[in-house]
Amino acid sequence: MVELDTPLIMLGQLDWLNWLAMFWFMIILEIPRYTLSGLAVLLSSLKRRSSPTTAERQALDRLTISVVIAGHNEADAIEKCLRSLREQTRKIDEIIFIDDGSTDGMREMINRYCQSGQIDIALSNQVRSGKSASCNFGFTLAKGDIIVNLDADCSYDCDAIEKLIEPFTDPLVGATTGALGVRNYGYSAVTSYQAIEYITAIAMGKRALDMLDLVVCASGAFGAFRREAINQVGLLAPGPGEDFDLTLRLRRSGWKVRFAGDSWCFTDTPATFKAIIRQRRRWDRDTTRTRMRKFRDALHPGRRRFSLLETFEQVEWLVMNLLVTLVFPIYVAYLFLLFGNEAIYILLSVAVAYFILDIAGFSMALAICRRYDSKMIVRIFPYLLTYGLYNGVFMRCVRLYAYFEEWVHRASTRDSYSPSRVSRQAHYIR
Amino acid sequence: MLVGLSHVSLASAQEEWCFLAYPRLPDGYRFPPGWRLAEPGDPIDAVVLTTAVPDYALKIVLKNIGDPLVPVVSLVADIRQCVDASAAGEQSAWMRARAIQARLRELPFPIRNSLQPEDMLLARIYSRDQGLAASYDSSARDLVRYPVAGPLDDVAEIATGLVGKGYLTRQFFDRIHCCPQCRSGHLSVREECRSCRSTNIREEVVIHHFRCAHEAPESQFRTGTGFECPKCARPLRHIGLDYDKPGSVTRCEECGGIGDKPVVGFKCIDCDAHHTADQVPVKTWYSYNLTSSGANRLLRGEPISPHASGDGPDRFRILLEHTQREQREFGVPYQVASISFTQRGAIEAQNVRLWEQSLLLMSDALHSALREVDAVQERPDGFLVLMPRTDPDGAKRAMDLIVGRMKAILKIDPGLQCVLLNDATVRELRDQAA
Ligand SMILES: [Zn+2]
Ligand SMILES: [Zn+2]
Ligand SMILES: [Zn+2]
Repeated sequence: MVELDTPLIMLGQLDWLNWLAMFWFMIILEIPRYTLSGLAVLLSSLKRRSSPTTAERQALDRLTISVVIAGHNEADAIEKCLRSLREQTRKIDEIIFIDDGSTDGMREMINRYCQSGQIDIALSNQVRSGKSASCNFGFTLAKGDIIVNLDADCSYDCDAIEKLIEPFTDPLVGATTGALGVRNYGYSAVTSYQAIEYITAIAMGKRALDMLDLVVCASGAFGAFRREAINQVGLLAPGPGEDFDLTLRLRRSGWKVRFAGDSWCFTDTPATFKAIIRQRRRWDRDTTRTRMRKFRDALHPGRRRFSLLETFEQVEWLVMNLLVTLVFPIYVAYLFLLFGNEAIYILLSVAVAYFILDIAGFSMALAICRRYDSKMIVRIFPYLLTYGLYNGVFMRCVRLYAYFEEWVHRASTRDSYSPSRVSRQAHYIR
Repeated sequence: MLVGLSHVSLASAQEEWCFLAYPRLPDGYRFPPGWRLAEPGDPIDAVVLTTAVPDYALKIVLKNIGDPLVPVVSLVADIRQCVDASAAGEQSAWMRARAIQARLRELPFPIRNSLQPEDMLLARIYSRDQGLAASYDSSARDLVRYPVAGPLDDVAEIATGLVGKGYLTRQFFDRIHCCPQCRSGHLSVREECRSCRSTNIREEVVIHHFRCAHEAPESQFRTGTGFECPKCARPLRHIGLDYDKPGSVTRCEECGGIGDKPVVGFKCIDCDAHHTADQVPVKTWYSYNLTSSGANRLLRGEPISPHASGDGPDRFRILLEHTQREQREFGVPYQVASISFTQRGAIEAQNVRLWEQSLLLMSDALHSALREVDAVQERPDGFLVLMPRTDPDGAKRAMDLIVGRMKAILKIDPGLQCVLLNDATVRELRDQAA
């Protein structure tokens, strides 16, 4: 009992300088982010999302839609994916499936679906080409005005595509992306944590970014592209991180990328710590590489590609992700150096603060999403108690390691994401 | 050979063999000893064709003779179905005619003169002394013929019936696709466009440019002189280094459709109908051989009753008779159940192999569920199960078990129907078999 009370008693006796000395990490790096997000969310909830006018709806209806799905060894996932596509409220003009060198009978399966008319075009790489190339293959053959890029192992709300293309009423919008939810939230602690993470990220993160017109990555698992726009800037570059790379190129060419928050896609997330570490290491390496290596010039004023918003966006990312992650271990070390064993209490109070922020953020996120039912909330709520540990410590360590890997080893060039012969050539000259 | 030849001529020295030559033999032709030209009213022992005779003329000749079993040999090359020997020299033609006639004479009168197709087929197989072998014939509508069967029609159907009765055994010959509309085997197999079924299609290689991940059909990369990437405008020089070819697409020149692989379709040359691969039924053809029980039956001279469907003196019948006697004398009950497949025709028409596998599975399931004292008779439309010393309730339980097991292992629904037969039906069955 005493030990639990101690940090609270301590807090009461401090003046603001001491506060700063102890909690500068939170005060400087975390509070502004939460405040910013909270503010953006507040604004976005104040601004009523208007549904399209009749004229806009007619314009939307005139757009033809091609769905492109490329996959490697996804034979088992196809049926579920097609089932949710059949349920779509928006008419799909064309479904193109590309089997990328699968060995699990995916080629035969998509040909069978093609035979029965559930797929319009089935294509196949007998040799694996990688996600980017096989998507590009589908993109070049797609005839629709809007190309919707989906993943075979995701399933979609029945109005997902209808909502996803709504932003295209604005002729400047070149790409949209939808909200990603966790399908297997009840499977394990890890999936529950991720469910919380996704909900918060989408409501607080993506919506906020969208509000501020900052970059949202038009995801390869759930994105829609104006064909004209991607033809103008070129299709996907060799992966990994190709969807983000395309998003940045679109923005650079003046196209807007919008987040369609009511359009929902669900996917199964990694269910074990080992699996999620592997996944996040890859994601974080990819993002870092795309950002740091390919778009370094955004940070250099005077270059042709420079724009204030882009630079702000890059700086924001640098501070919020990179800096926060890198500084965290320094902060912990600093606390122990300066305060000795008391550091534990300080960290405990930090944890409490995180907990409160998390609860607040999560409740806000739930209120905004309005997509999850009470059963699901009850199921994952207990994990909110330890979510701070997951997000603040565990994820931070994984991210730190990933950055380290990318910077020191340039690991992502050796990724198994693309077949090695492809990535070797693709990265040969930079 | 020489010994055999002289033996034959000696043995038949007393006998005269009448032949009909058509058209008449040239003057001074010396036919082998023992033969003489048939006078009007003589029984004809062989028809000797002296030249290539047109079909209709041959038909008239055979009709006038009125003997479906008579040997027909040709002194010139003639590969028609009803010709028993040709093209192997005149000497062998005469010998063949005599050999066939000799075996025909072994047959008892009722068989020799029976007009039942089954008797005629068995007699032809016996007299020609060779199996009922199937062979390809491009002029036949279903591409297969049985030379031994001569002028008989529906040979495969008759032979299947005889296999069921134990008189013939069969060996697999071939499986041939046939037109579902006109049953013709004259089908053209084509690769065609998935959407418009045109055969005007072209395969195009797909190119993947490593540097920019562009992947598209080759034509998009082709420039006047070589290859250039339409996305990043770099030249493609080196396969494996700059680019590779991960696959190909099929492009239809008629409708412009693009797909992975062309689909296989069938066009019937006879009725011009088009069918997709899964619509085209397959017919299985067999060659047949006479069994010893078939030969016995022939030589004992009992013509086959057209309605008999029994299985000869097999275990089932013996057991049935025994069981019935037991019931009469000691009042021991027995049951006969009939399991029939109402869907057999439909399934078999679609996929013969699937049906045969299913039949084997069902037979296994059946035998696994029965006692040793039970007997099973396989019939074209199902199984008969004889369960001695069983009351109706016990039989019902056994049937439930059997049908349950069958359903559990089958991929298809054969339309199983299961009934217990009453005494009258069973007696009828037994009488038929006897
Ligand atoms: Zn076509
Ligand atoms: Zn290129
Ligand atoms: Zn036909």
